Amino acid sequence: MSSAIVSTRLRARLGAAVLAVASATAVLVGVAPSASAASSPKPGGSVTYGLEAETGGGWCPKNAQLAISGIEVGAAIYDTLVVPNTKGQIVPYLAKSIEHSADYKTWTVTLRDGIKFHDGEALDAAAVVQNIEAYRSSPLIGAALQDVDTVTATSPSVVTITTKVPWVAFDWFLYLDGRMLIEAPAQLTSPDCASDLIGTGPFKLDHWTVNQELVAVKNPDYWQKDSKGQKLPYLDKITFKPVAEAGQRVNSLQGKTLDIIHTSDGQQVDAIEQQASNYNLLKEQPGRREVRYYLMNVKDAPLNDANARKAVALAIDRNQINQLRNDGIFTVANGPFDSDVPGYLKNTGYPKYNLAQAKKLASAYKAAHGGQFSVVLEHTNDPANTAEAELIKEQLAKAGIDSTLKQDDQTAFIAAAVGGNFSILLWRNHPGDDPDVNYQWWQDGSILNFGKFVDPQMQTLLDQGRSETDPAKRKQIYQQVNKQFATQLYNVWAYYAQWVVAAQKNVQGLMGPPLPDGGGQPLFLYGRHPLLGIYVTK
Amino acid sequence: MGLIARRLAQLVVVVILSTLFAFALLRLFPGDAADAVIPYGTAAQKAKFRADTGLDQPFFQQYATWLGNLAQGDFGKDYQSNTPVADKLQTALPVSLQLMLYAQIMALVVAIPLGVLTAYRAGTKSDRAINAGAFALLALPSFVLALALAYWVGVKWHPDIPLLGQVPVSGYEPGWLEAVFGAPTGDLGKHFATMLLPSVALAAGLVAVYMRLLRSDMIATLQENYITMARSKGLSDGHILWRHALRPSSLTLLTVAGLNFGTLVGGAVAVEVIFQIPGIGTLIYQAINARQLVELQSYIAIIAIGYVLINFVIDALYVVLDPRIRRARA
Repeated sequence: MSSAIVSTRLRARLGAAVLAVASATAVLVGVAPSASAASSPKPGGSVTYGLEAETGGGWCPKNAQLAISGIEVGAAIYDTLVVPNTKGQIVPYLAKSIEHSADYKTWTVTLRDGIKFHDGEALDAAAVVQNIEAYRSSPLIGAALQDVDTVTATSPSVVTITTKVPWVAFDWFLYLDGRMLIEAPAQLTSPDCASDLIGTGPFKLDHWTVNQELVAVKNPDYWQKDSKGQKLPYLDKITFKPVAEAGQRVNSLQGKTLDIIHTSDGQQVDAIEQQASNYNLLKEQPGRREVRYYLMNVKDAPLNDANARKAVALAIDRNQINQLRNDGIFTVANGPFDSDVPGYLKNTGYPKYNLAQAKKLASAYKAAHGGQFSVVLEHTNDPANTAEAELIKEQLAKAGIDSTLKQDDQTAFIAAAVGGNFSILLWRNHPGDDPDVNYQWWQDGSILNFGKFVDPQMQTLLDQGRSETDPAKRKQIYQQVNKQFATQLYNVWAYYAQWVVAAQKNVQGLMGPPLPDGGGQPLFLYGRHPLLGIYVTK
Repeated sequence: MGLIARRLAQLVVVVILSTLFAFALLRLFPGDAADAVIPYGTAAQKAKFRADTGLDQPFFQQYATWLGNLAQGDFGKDYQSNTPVADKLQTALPVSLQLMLYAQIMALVVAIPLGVLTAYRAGTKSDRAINAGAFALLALPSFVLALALAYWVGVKWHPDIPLLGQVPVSGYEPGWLEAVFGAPTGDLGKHFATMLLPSVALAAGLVAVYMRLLRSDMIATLQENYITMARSKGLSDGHILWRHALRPSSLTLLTVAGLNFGTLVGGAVAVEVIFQIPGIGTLIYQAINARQLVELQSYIAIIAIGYVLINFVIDALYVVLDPRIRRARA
C-alpha cells in the first residue's frame, strides 16, 4: 500500500536526523569561490576539459565501468533520474517525483513531461525500464541492484520498482555517483551502444575519437532554464580530452591548453591550491570524500590472522604518509565514512600508530609461523602510488614485517582484486553516498568483496541498515559497521582524498544553477559536477 | 622486378616473423583481455567473452585467424568499444607519420651541416665542442627532454611564434596528411605549433647519431683521390664539401635514417603520451594497458610493414645518390 510520500518528505525523513547542517554549509562554502567571482552568464563559447582517463569501454549500461572521467562526460550527454543535493538528500531530476510505499518495497518514479532524447524520442516509462534492466545485466551495477525484484512501466510516465527487501535508501541507487545515466532506447539497442551516445542531457555528442577527444555540442532543446528564463546550457561546445598524467594536466591548465581539469592527486591538489588566485576552483569539502585505504586479503596467510592484520595496522604511520604523499592537505581516516555520512565516528576504535606494539605482534606471528611474516604491497603504476608503497614498505620493515612491492597497470590491478590474488592493495573507494551504497563491497560472498572477509555480524548489520526506517537507528547500525571494521581491521584506513576541479579565471558556473523545483544546490560528490551552467567570460 | 619481388618476399617473412614473435610475447602479459573488458564479470561471463573473441583457441589457431584477417584488410576490433582498428589507424597513422617526418627533417637539417662542418674541421676545438654537445643529446632520453620541454617551454615560456601562434604544452591539431587518409584536416599553423615540441624531443637524439655518422664517413671521403683532384683543380672548399663529398658520404646516414624508423616509433610512444598526441604510439600504450591483444598485434604488423617499405625506398635511393651503385646494378 503506497503512502504516496513525495520526494521532499522523503528527503526530510532520510536527511534531517543524520546530516549536520554545519557540514552541509561547509560544502556550500566549497563552491562559493566560483559563485562569488561570477558575472552574468552569457550563452556561447566553448571549453576544453582535461579528463584523467579515456572511457575506452564506452557508455553502454551493460558493459560500462565509469570512473570519474566517464561520469563527467555522462553529465554532459545524459541526465539521471535523481541527484544528490548539498544537504545529502536525493532529489528528483529527470523524475518529477519519487515515492515509496510504507514498507519501502515499492518505489514509484514519475517522469517529467515533455523531455526528449537527442534523437527526438520522448522520455517515457518504457525507456526508463529498459535502462534499469540494462543496468541490472551489468556485472558491476547489477551487483548493486541485486535486491531489485521487478521494474514495470505502470503508465507512460510512471515506473514502479519493487524490491526483495525493504530498501530505505534505494533512491541513492538510482544515482550511483552519476553512473545511472538514462540513455535513449535507440542507443541501448544499437550495435554501437558504447559509442553512439544519445541522452537527454544538456549536450549532444558531436564526435568521439577514442583517446583523442570527445566533442559535445549544445542541445538546443534541453529541458532546463536558469532563474532568469535563459535556456540551458550556456556553452555551445565542450571538448573532453583525456590527459592521463596528473602533472601534465596541471601543466596544460597553466599553459592554457585546457580550460578545466580535475584531479584528486594530493600533491597536484596542493600545487593548484598554491596558485588558487589564477583559477576558479571547485574544492570538495570534508564530509563526503572517498577514502584511501590498504585493502587486505583476509582469505590467505598471513592476513587471515587477526593479530597479523593488527601488526600491519599499528606499523603504518598514516600521518607520515599523509604528510609525504599529500603534503599534509588531506585528512587521516579512521573508517570508511566521511563526517557527513551516516555511520561516521570521530573515534571508531581504529588503533593508533604504535611501533612497539606492532613489533611485538609481528614477532609473535613470526614465532608461530617459522619466522615468516611477509606481505606484498600491490599498487597501480603511477609514480605517486609507487612512492606511497615504498613508504609503507619502510614503515612495515621497522616493525619487522617483510614486504615486497608489486606494480600493476590498472587492468592487472583490478584483476588481482577480483581474483583475490593479492596480499595488500593500495585502494580507493566509498565516496560519501548513503552508506547502504557500499553493501555489495562488503557483502558475504560478493565478487566485489575483494578482501574476501566473511563476517556474519557485518552481514547482519548491512542487512539491517538496508531496511531500517528510523534514521537514528540506521545511523547507529552504520556506526557499528564502522566499529566492526576498526575491530576486525579488514582494511588499513589511510586518508580521505579530495577532488578539485580547476578552471581558467574566465570559466564560471562550475556548479551550475540550483536544482529544479527547489531541490537545492547540487552536491559536488566524487568529483562530479554539472556542466549545464558553465559559461565563459572575456 | 627482381628487386621488387625480393623485397615483397622479405616483407612477408618480416611480417610473419615479427608478428609471430609479438603474438607469443603478448601472451606472457599478466591478466587477460577478459579482465580488462569485464573486470568485475563472473568466471562464466569472462569465459563467454573469450569464446566470443576467439581468445580461448589454441595459440597457432588464433595466430592463423588473425593473419588471415589481416591479409584481407581486417585489422580486428577494439574489444571494449567495438571500434574497428582500421578506423583508429585512419586517424592515428597520419599523426605519427607527420611526427616522425618532422623529427627526421629537423634532425637531418641540423645534423647534416654540423656533420659536414665537424668533418671539415676535424680535430679542432669547434669539432670537439660540437661532438661533446652531440654526446650530451645522445645521452638524453626523449621522454626526459619531452617533459623538460613541456614544462619549460610549454608552461613557463609559452612562446608566441609568427605564423604558428602560441606553442601549446600538449594537444594536437590535425595537419595535411590527414587528407590522404580521409580524416579531417585542421589549421596548419596550429598543427605545426602542436608538433613543434614533440618533434624536437624526438629529433634531439637523432641529431647526434646522424651528425657523428656523417662526420666519420665524410672524413673518409675527404681522403679520396677524386677529392684531391678537385682541390688541385682549384674548386672551393664549399663546392667540394657540398657537391662532391656529401652525396657519397651520406649512404650510411640514409641507411640509419631508415633503420631509425623503428627507433622513432619506440620513442614516439613516450613522446606522444606526454604531449597527448593521438598517434600510433598513444594507441600502442593504450592497447597494452587495456590488453587489446588483436589491436596491438595489428599495430605491430603495420610497423613491420612500414619498416620494410621504408628500407626498400632507401635501397632505391642508393642508386640515385651514388652513381657507382647505379652503374654496378646496370
